[in-house]
Amino acid sequence: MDPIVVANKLTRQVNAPDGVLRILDNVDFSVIPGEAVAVTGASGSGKSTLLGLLAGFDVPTRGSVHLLGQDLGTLSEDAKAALRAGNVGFVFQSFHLLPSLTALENVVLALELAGVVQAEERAREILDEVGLAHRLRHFPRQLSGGEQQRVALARAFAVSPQILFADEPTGNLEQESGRQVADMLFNLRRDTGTALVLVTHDETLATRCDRVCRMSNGWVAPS
Amino acid sequence: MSRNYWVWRRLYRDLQVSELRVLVLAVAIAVTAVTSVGFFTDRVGRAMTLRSAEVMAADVVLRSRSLIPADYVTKAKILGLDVAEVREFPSVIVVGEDMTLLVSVKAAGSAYPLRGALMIADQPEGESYSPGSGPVAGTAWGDARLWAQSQLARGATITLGHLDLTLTQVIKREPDRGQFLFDLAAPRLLIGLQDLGATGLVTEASRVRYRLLLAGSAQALDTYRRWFTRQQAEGLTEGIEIEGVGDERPALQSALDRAASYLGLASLSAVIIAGAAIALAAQLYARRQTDVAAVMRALGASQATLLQEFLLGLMLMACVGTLIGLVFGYLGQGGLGYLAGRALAVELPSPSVRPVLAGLISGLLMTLGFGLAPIVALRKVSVMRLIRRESSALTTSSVSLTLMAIAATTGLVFWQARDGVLAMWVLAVMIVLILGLVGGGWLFFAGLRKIRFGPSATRYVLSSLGRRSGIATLQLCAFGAGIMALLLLMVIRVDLLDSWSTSISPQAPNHFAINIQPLQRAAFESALETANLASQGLFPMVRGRWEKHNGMRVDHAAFSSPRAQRLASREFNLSVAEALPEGNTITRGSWFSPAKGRAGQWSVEEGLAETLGIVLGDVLTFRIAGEEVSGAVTSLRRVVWDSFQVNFFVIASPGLLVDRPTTYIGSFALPPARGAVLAGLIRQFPGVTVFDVGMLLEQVQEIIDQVSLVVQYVFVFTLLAGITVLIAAVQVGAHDRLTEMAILRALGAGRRRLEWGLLLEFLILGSIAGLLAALFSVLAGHILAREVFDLPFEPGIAVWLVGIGGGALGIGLVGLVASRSVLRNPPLTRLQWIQS
Repeated sequence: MDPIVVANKLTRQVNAPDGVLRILDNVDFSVIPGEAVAVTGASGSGKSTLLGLLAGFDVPTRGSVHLLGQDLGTLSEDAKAALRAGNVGFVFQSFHLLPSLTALENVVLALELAGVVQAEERAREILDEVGLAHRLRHFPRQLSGGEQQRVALARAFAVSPQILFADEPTGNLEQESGRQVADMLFNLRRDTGTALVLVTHDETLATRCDRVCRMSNGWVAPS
Repeated sequence: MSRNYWVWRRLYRDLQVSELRVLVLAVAIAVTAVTSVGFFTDRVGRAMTLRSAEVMAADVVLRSRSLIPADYVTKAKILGLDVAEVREFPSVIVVGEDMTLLVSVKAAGSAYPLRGALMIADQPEGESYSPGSGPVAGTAWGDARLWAQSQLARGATITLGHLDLTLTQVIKREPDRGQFLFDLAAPRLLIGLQDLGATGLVTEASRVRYRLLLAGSAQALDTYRRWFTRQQAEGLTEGIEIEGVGDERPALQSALDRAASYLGLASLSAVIIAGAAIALAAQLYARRQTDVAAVMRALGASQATLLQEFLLGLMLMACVGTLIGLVFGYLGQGGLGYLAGRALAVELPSPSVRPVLAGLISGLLMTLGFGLAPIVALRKVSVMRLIRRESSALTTSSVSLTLMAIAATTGLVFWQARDGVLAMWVLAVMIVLILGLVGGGWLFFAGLRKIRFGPSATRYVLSSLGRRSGIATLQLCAFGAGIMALLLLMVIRVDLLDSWSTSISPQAPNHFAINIQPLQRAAFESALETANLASQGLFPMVRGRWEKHNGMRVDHAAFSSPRAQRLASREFNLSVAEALPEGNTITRGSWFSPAKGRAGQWSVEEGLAETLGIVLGDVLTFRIAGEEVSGAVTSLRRVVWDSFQVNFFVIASPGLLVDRPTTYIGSFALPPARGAVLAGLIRQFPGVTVFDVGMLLEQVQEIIDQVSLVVQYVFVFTLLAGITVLIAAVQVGAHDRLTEMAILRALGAGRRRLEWGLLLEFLILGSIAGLLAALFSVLAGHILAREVFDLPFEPGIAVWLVGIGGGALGIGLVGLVASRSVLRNPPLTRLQWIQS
């Protein structure tokens, strides 16, 4: 089976006050459709950088990323955005819901950008699935952290993405909310067959994935 | 849900809860300033035009040396214009058995005057009042001099040609008196037009000046002027000239021109202040939208989608702000108009639609010009910031921001300015100011980053300013532009306005004396000195007709403008001078010098030179008493016409007019209470003609006084707008600072330490902005005084003190007050707000 995302010899370096800092160093990485892969490691090990590169948010210094069969290095920023729309989902540690939109509108916006018709109906369904049917008209600031992350999950899964990138999805939540969000994440993934790249330092969460990659100083240790 | 739905929805929410209200407020303040000044200047400007129409007794006048055909009257009546016919000619009246008196007769139709008021009295010392109509058949009115010279009593009979008339009233004020200074030499006799035929004085040979006075709506007048131009093009208007407000009479025109420039400057100041505020607000708006843009990008939105949505959002806010601004602008000018109308004792015309349009376009254009650059930058936001917060904050290219701002300002300045020269200079100063502030700010903040000494609070403030150099430079520009606009107003209001108001001093001459023979010159001068009358001395005057231009015969009909035709065809009053007359300045070439040879040089007034197409180096030939006199033009002069000194269009170098028939002319100031002195002079020098220009002087002085007052009103308003925008600028820049303060407060920093930190930061910003603003306002003051207002300019030390001290203290205090809520509230409030 062809991988849904492949990174070859991925290197990312930045200029720091003490000279060039290599955040990722010749990383090879791949995920096949439907697979759940956890990326773990200490702070500063390069987990989030890897996630950003795989999702096409950032450009590698060297190496290549193929997402959904497309070489991201050959695509313009707009082409990468178009590739993401409807195919790639995201869940961030800080939720990143649009503060001026209600829970329902946040989900509808993602569906409309993906070109889904009857977006509102689909948004209501998925918000119901994450247990927020009674919070549709609430703004992010009126929701708890756990609820905000559930809206973010609904937004991510609403478009039935082929792959979901999740960056510390429970990192900002207390234990009980974190557990609920994690359960929902894995349940939705199972139901939709979506591949998952999960960046986390939570070992318990990582073990719920099919495979765990440990990062250390810009390297990915073989799992 | 449509795409527009999202924009509306986000806008609605943002207006409820975020600093976007600041942007709307900034646009609203900007538009309020622009429209209220626009409304106000528009109304005052039109009031001034009406006021100056009063001294023509009409809006438009047709002049001719022969009877103006009935077609011209008919056309005016068809267009709904008011019409009055006036005929003037010199004549002699017979009083009693043998006394004759030279008079200037005016026969006017019953509608005269169409503008301004004719004031009469029953006796020379009686109360003046406005008559319902002109003299009835068989009666005549005379001015005070006629009554004095004829020594007649009310009801006496005078004979004008074949007609006997009863002298009934004294003319106290005649709005259009003094159209030509020399007309003032003879006393006025006013009769009804219906009596003119009976006098038998108007024949084909008589020297009658015909005038057709017209007044009415601007549109009808425009139509009439266009019709007249067409007639002219077909050669049907021979001998008829058309004249509107400001086409003639350099003294009045000069006063009105300067008034327009002052008001234009007040309006431009508002535009400058507004631009600075909008630039800040738009930058903050874009920063606030950075995460939204990144999320939308992550979800697959294209750059075009982002640009479209944010631009639409920005313009919607601009519309909201603009509408609020229009309402407040209208209300603001209403109050000002009421106050000004009372103070000026004039009824201001109702506001026109033009300022509304100006406000609308200004609001949208300024928002685009100053806000587009950060919005365009949003399109390229890095999605990575959603994962790594510190990565790639929004950066707006300061080059593109500056260029856009300059482009927007250029458009607005040229569009808003009533004076092209003024607009060009204001723009040049603005560009230098922006570049100076950006450059100065960049250097200063780069230096701050290197500071590693001082107490911890001070060091923190300095380094924090250094790190936030982008927003700090922007703030510096806003403060600098705001302070400069206010300083410029101070400079203009105090210094230039004073210079202007005093340009007609109480010592200004109100009497002219002509026909002084060379042999009488010394005696006349000594008589003036003995009587202690202020005079600039006597000037030689030689009358000559312009014969040739660079050897080619002058054909006055070949000139396209009526003014040029008239000037070229009439006799010039030439003078001779050793030194450049007081109040004149050389604009091209140089004053006569022995080195260039003593013979054959002319100095020409620049306005005349432009009208007649005379340039430096041209050879002009005048025919004087049958002989040709030639010389080269070696200088062009600017003349302050509203000074009321004796001025000449053409001055010859010493020696050029030797042995030509010369008389002398002089002017002197005669206080009203010393009328007896005048009688003495006339008795002593019977051949000398003395005439009074007090009325004309009074009218010009009145306009200057009125406009000074109005300008001060407008400046006060711009000043208030400036202060308001400065406060908005402090609040806009406060976002990062307040967040840091909340964090420091949470970490246990004392209130006093934070207050000191805040004060220090604003003191630094204020004093640097004030210093740069003072520098540029002095520079601008010099340029405006020299190039636009043609007035001397001596900036005092106050500009520097107010600029630096006022900038530091004002912005320091405003900044502190604007940030007090954070210092008073628990830090969590602010931090939670930031999170949301």
